Amino acid sequence: MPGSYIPRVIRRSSEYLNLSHLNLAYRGSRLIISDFSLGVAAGEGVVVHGPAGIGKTTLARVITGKLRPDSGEISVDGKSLSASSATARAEILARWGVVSDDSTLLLDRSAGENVRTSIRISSHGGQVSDDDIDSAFRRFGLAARRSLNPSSLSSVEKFLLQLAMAWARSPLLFVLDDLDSALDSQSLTLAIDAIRERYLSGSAVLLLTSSPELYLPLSWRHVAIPMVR
Amino acid sequence: MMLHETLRLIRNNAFDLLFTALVAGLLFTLGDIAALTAQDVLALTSDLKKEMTMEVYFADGVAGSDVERVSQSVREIDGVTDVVKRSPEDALKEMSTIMGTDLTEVLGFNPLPYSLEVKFDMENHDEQYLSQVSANLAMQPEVMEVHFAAEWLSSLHKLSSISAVASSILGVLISACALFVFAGMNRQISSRRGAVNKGLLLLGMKPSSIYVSGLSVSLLTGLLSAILALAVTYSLWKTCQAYSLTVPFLSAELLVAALILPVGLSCVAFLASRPVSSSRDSS
Repeated sequence: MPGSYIPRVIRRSSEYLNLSHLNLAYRGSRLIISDFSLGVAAGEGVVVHGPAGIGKTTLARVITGKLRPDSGEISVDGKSLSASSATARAEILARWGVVSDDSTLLLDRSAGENVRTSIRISSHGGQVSDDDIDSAFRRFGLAARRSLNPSSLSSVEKFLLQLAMAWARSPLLFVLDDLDSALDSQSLTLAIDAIRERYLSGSAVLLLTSSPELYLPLSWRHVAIPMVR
Repeated sequence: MMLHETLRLIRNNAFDLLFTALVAGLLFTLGDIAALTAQDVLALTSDLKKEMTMEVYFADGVAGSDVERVSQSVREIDGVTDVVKRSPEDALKEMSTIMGTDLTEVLGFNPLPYSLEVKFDMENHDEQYLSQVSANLAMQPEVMEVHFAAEWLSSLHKLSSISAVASSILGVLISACALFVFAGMNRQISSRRGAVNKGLLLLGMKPSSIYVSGLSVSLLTGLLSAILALAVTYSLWKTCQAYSLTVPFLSAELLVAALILPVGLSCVAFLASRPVSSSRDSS
């Protein structure tokens, strides 16, 4: 049963992710993120929006630890990420579902093995049944793609596979970057339905987009990234 | 999880791994043969140097009692293990056996003097000491001549030194070559694996697990090359034995070194090639 690996959280009971006064400059000069703060409660859905080029992908990279902010603090469950060891950061990422331009796809194995690896890492090496993998592929309309290498998938299918990998591990937090520009309308509907399903069972969602209107029906909190002067 | 990734890494890079193990294995075979040969030369020279023989020839007309007196004093010299007295009659018998003819028939008399065959234990003495003893004995009025293989001893010294230096240089060169071979493989695998490692880190795999997987593959390559080198060396050793050639012996120390060196080098090559990239990009 997918979703049985991570203990459920109590919705919106406490702040799970906290970004406090983040600053990041490109090559130390041009500011990309300026004094950005945001709190995401456990089980909360947040849409962070802003026009293209404002720094959404950079923010996603900072949150996932791919980039180090020049200043500011990121904490998860009250613990500072910058003060955490590499192992502790890995354990946090293992409980998240990250989908962004920075592909989590593993090109040395089939699409099915990508999902299996994703679940296995989040469950600390636990056994993964074929049913869990199958249900993830079916959920994202990729049932016929399971045995293929990700490199032979279309860009939309690659993004859907990343979503399937994140969805299959029932994460505490989804970090989703540019979902709407990577997917066509049909795939986007499929993806939103699947993410909503996880949201309803307790996953927090942090969605970064330049088209916030697409997510208005979800009734999630909307936060605009301020323009950097 | 780590085991799965290690096995996948091995499966996906099987050709590189085997090819590297083969090339490094052949290099180590050369090294093993050189080390065995050097060891054999050292063992041989050491055996020859353990005991040296000095011949002391007496002057014509020296009486048997004088020979016995000198013989007794020689026995008291430090390092002397045995003294065999040879009378002119015994010497003549030996000479006639070697030459196949009776010398007295040719010459009409026995020209050979009394002599002593003096054996020295060379464990605690060197060539210089032997020269000193030889000079002292030669000064005795009864002694006509003293012989010992000074040049031979000197050559043995040179041979064993050259052999040790040559095998050391060869060992260093082979180690350097093997290091490059291992590092090349690690760099190739890591450049191919870079995107996968980044993906795994983003999925939450511990950096240490990724690191250990890579290190395991490198160590396995080292171990394979060591086994290959030992297998080839052992086959050659058996072949030499089959043809009754003088063969070096495979000592336990050499076997352990032949196993540890390739594995150690593969480990160093892995660490030196910095195969696991950082999870954090610079801004």
